[in-house]
Amino acid sequence: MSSLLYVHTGGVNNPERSATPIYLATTAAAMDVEVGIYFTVNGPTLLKKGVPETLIVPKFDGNGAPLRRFIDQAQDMGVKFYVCQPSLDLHGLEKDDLIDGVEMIGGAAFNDMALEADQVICF
Amino acid sequence: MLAEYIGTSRYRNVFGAALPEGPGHIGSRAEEGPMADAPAHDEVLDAKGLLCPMPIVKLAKFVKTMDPQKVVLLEATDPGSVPDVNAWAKNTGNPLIHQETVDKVMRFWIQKA
Repeated sequence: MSSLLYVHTGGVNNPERSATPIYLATTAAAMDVEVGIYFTVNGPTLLKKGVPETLIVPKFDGNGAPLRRFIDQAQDMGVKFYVCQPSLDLHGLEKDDLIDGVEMIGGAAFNDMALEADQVICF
Repeated sequence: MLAEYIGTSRYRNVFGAALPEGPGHIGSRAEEGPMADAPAHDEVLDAKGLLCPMPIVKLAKFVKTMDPQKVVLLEATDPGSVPDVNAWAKNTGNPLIHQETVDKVMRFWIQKA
């Protein structure tokens, strides 16, 4: 099975950057690709409990959708979500502050995933 | 859904000729449905109005529930659907056996591998 690893660095201050890596990952999962998203730098702020429901992914006509919709689609298709401790520390977050379905990894595990994946795609 | 497709190629293929017009019969939808020489299909999946990535997600989920060799007719209006469905078929190994575009509706016949 092919595999892709997405790296998501966008956070709550850039809603327009929040959903794209997630729905691309969803599409990859639908193509029978093994997919993970590694949320780092500002990425973990998107996964704080309560944020996905209130953060609106903007659309030109004002009819944006909450980020939760994109996250639910991805998790439903089997996309794995990862965070690392240093990027949680950056924002004063603990693992328990995050939504369900997020796995904690470290830098070594991330690098190993990157080496194992067919491609790494960074946002 | 059955009634909606009476008069389209599937029924012409099954019965050898178009069904006669009659009470409760929707009639020919030639300009709205698949063309007369389209392959037969077992299932119809309506993804019209859905935007990327939902047609592909819906297709992927649906095909997982199908028996091998069965054919699903996917209908979509997302403008990126032609390259997307081709890419999906290539990567999943479920062949795209026929494609038609009429007006802005794209139709894809996909056979479960």
